[in-house]
Amino acid sequence: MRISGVEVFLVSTPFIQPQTMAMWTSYKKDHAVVRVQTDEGVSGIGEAVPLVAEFGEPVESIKYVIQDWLAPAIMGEDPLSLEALFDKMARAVKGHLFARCALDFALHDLMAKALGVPLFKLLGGRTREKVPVTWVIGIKKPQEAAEEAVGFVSRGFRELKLKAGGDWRLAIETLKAVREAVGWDVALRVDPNQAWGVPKAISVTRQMERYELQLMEQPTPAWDLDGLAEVARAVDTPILIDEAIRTPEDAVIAVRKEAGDMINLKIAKMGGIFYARRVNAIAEASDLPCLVGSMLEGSIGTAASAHFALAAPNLKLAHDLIGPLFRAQDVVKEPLRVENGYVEVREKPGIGMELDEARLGSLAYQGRWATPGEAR
Amino acid sequence: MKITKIEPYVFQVPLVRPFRTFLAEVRAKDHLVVRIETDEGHVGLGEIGPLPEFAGESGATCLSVTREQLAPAILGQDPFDIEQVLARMDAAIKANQLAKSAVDFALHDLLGRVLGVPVYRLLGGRYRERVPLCWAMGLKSPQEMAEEAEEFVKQGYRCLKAKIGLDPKTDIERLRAIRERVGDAVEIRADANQAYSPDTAITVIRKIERMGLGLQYVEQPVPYWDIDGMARVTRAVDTPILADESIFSMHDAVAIIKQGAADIINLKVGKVGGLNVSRKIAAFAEAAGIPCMVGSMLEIWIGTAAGAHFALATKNVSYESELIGPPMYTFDVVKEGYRYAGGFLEVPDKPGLGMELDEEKLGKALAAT
Repeated sequence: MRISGVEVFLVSTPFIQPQTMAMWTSYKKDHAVVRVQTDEGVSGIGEAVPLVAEFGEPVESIKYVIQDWLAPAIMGEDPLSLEALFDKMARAVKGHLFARCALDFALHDLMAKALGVPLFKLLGGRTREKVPVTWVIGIKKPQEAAEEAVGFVSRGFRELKLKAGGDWRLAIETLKAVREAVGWDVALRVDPNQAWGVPKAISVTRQMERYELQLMEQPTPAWDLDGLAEVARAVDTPILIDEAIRTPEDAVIAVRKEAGDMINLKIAKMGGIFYARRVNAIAEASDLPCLVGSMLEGSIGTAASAHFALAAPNLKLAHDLIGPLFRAQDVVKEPLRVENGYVEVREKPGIGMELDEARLGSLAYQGRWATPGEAR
Repeated sequence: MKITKIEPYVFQVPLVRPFRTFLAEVRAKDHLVVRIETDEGHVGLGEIGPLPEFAGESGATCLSVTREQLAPAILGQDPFDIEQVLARMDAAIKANQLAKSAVDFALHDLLGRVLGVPVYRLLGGRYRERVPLCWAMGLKSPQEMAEEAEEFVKQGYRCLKAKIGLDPKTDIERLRAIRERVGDAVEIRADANQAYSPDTAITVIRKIERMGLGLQYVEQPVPYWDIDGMARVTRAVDTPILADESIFSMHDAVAIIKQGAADIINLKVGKVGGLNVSRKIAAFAEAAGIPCMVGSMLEIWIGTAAGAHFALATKNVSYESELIGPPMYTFDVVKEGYRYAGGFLEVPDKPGLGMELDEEKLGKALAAT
């Protein structure tokens, strides 16, 4: 079997409700959807959903890098020889991990379809019955956050993540309000996305510990592993490393420095399942439990991530695999279900998703500022 | 699909010529073969060559552990849930990685057959066309080792390993005799099997460096537990140091990598618990800039095949592997092995490991043991 074609489709999927970010209000997510074809008719699909402010790589860049650099490196090759394919792609172009991840998802889908099994069976098999997910609450007034938390706990979520920012007093107040609203049986984690310096991270985390914090995610800047290690040593709460680890080599450095207690394996930031498995192997050997984060991908990226989350024993925490919940429409025939605090993993070959070709047209990407109006 | 039967067999196979290391002299060796069956009629085969002085497991312990502990823990499980199956074995009994490796090999063989693909396809695909090999020579006189070296270079081997560790002076003589005989175009590595103290290791290796013998690396010069000592040797000498007996699990890799205790890892797939965990160790090592090679515990064909598929599929196995057990034995229990060609091992495209048991030879071997 040989790779005979790689197509990239740019689409935008509308949000159910507009999401207000720091700088503007967002009505949609942009996707680069990839389809890899073979000479035997088997194909695989993947996608990448950019988070440009943090990781770069807007969809146009993803399309360009795949079409002009990554796809030519693997055209005509055996799609099941992943070790060789990723080696060739690594030599073809440096970085661009989101583009690499979109292709990686498609190659994994293709491999499992070619062998006639659900993807999780090729990643280690079933290690748990279901894949639990975390609801993520944005930065908002403590009372609003508490109401949102109660709503999602009643929908079955047992773990919640609270986003935090420079206003650390607000972060503590929010945690307090949410804890009082949901009781002690719900796990609460806080993610300030690198907003604090080392002394602030230590003192805020300590103050939060009275409200039982499950974990503190990447409180200090990504580049400062020594600082993160200092925080990890100083507080009782486990420190989850996120932005500081994007490659297996980063993971080795983090292990050497004992920079944290857990790792957030956002698959897109690492270049796909191929690399995420490696980081997870390093973490497992070093006794660092992991969770699978997300870029709020749609059904395709979330499904691929969920197969991985089902199959690796070291993925012990609830995952951020909630992207499909935000979307009014998606580009697959039967969108992935996220219900009762769990994300679905289908027993169909591959990742179990089928492209809806008509939607590729009706949801076609119209530019950064264009909302898929006709679709709404 | 469910595992319905796990049958362990232990038997002895004599070597063509005795093989001596610092740890032991081997004339005949026990082997464990594990045969797994499923409710859908699929079969998988695994094998391991227990080496008590090296790994703490003998044929007898492997047989009893497989029969009494491992088999009951995984009967009725779906072989595709391999992480879960391996976790159940780890929960059933601590350590005993050799017996667990034989089961892991049989599971991979089984999955490959079910899916109709060679095992290497489940491990990353064919990364290299064939597996480059290193011939390993047991401890003998310098003269005898030089002769054996010449013999195998003529057969096409471009890499030779010399067991050392009896006494530093003769060890150096052995290496000099081999180098003088085969010239500079052949790689030579030395394996002390933990024989030296860190200070002795540093002295000996520095002397070898001054003599310009150009060793590829020195393997496990100090006792397995002395990670600090090995780190000291690694820092002190220019020759790369390879860790073997210091790594029996993925967790052992953490200390080696954190302390920079070695430059290369001997990833014997049969000593760490099998192919699944070997992949994790290879990934960890690759990210730390530590290449690997696949050593052996002198397995016969089935166990050797498992190592060959791993070496074929794994980029980070970039040093010559020592999958040279089969030609050292007087017989095997499979119908057909793989082909050795000029210092390489060829891996065929058959489903699973592609080995069929020869029931008659197995019966004879069991009767004679």
